[in-house]
Amino acid sequence: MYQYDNFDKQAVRERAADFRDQVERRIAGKLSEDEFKPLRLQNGLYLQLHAYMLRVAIPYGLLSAKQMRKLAHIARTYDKDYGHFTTRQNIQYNWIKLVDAPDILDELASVEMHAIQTSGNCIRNISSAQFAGVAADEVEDPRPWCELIRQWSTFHPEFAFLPRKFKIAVNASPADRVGVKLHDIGITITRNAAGERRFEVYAGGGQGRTPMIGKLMRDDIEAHHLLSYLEAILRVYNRYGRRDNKYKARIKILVHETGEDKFREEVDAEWRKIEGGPVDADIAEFGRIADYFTAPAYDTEAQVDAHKARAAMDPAFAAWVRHNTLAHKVPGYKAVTISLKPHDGIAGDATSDQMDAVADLSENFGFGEIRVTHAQNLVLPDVRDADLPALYDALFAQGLGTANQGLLTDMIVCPGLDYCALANARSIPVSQKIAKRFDDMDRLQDIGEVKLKISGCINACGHHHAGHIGILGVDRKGTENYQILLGGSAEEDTSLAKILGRGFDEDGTVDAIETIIDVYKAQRQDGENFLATYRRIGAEPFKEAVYGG
Amino acid sequence: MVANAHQIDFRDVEPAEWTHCETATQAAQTAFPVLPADELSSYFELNDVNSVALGVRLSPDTEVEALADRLDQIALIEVDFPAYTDGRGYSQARVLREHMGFQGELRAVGDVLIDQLRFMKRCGFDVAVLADHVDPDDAEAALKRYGVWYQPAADDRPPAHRLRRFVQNWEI
Ligand code: SF4
Repeated sequence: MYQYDNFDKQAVRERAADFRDQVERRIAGKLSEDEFKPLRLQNGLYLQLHAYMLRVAIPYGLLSAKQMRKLAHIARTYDKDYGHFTTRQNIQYNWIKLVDAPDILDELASVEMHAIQTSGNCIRNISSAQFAGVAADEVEDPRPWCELIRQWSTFHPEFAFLPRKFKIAVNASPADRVGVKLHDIGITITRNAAGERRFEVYAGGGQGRTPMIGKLMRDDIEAHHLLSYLEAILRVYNRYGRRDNKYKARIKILVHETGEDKFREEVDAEWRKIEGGPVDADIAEFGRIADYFTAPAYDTEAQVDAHKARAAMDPAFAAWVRHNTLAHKVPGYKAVTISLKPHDGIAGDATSDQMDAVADLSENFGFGEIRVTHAQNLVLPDVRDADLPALYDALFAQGLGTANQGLLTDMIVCPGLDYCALANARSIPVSQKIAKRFDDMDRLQDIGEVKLKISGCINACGHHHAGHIGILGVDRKGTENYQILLGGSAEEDTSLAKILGRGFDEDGTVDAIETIIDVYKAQRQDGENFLATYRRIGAEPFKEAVYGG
Repeated sequence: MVANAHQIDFRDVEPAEWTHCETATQAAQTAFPVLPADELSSYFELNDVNSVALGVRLSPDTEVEALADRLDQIALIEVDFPAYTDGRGYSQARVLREHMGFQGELRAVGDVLIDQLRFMKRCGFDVAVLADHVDPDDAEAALKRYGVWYQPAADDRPPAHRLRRFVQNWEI
């Protein structure tokens, strides 16, 4: 993985020192809370319902064992012994004291980490596929490109005060594992007919209160023009994005109001002025970065299917292998998803001890590398088949052995009213009730793949628009109420979920989800998953069953 | 000019006694007027102009490209930041410098706080006029704190990856 050189180290140290100064100026009363707010936000510090929350960047979801141990240490020392992994592949600490924040940034800087641009109206952490570098279907490893974009966007002098936050995701396989069309900018690395590298750049996608699917801007961007093209989009957005209404300030509204074609022309006009200029001149840097992402020393003798004997006699282990492991590009290896969705827990939460355990396991069964997924799980990318039984046992002992990756209880859940000041309803209790209702592995496996996503308000941090089943918390005359949506997808067949009908209270929601699943089971054909059945039969049968004829 | 306003100079500039004017006619009789951008065309239609040098004040929604024809007659451009959260002025500055080749003085005014200065410097501003309550010593200290940049911009600072090629064993 990428290693900081002295320039990078200096950059995060300067930033930590700067933030210490800002906190001191705030405490001395030289900065008003209004003035301090965007500064703390650009360092990932939010004021939540009960305390400050610190969001730490995990660039494209990639962590070393050493960094994971530092995250555990921070949770133990400065928070309540746990952290929360987010849908943007970051980690959040929910109970931070303002006076501790500068020390935490120093701790992070010591392991090449930071909280830069994890919030505020700037270019946020770049996200990417959790199986980058190991997935068999990838055209190349997207991470060096993510790192190049990370460096370009870090402290970008022109784009620190955009109309609104700006999220970029990079994918490099036909299977979309990042939600390319649901980002402000989504990038797919492809090969053209001649086998040459090209970048497809989408703009104007997003969720939130006005969900929109991103529009293809160009599919022919070459490597040495990538940064100038991104800069052109950002410049047009910075100049013309709406600033009169925070809810209309995302680039998706600008693209929509300008019109896709006209927007593309405006970007092209800007791009022609800068393509091949200074921002593109440093593409040589890419080679230096890419050298950090060469494949580790895989065991060329790794025995394929060495876990099969255990699987044959242990159905629980077999189920875990089936759901939580993915074929690796190297024979005899698997990429393992560690579920952070135990049925009695909180989606995405991990205790300090669990983080330490995962760090150890990443070294014992891999090359000391860990990934954070946008579905709020962790991944050990390089596990030999032969090591799967021992890994499973160790994870199980830590409460990390739930075999539900991709199944109904592998929910994406936003923090909701338990933490978030913007929430209309709690997300966590309803997710826990659903997990309890479906707490039967045989039943879950029979139901198969379902993406259930829960947001506590219209801001959609829980991606409810992109769920096969989405749940949206609303405030109905002062009580928490939940609307159900069906038919969303954040993958290559991106679609936005549609509201089924009137909402329910917490228990009514759980009942309705069960009814919806029953309709699917009665109607499914030939191995269809939930989404395929929904797309074939439409919303009506579900409506009838949930609301009565 | 506002009396006593502290200004941070990123580069040496010719000092001049600039005066803000609301109308073109007023500006024409002022030695160093600073005129709102939308008064500019009236100013250039006047016959009786006694100004020594001309300054223009932009608002965030001024299309800087509209100044192209007159750019060589403009000595000073003030870019207004009505709220520091409004980042349009950074793009205006870069477009003026990098696309339009503006060589005159570029000045950031308005809600200019400490933590914007380093960005202003990189986007091609010569001078930033601090908001009234900002302590200039704090501003200078904060400005000195940053040495590493990752991207080329309108100043001549080389980004980190260009330096990397020359400095192999660089220690801090
Ligand atoms: S969706 Fe709403 S409630 Fe949930 S985290 Fe986002 S803002 Fe908060």
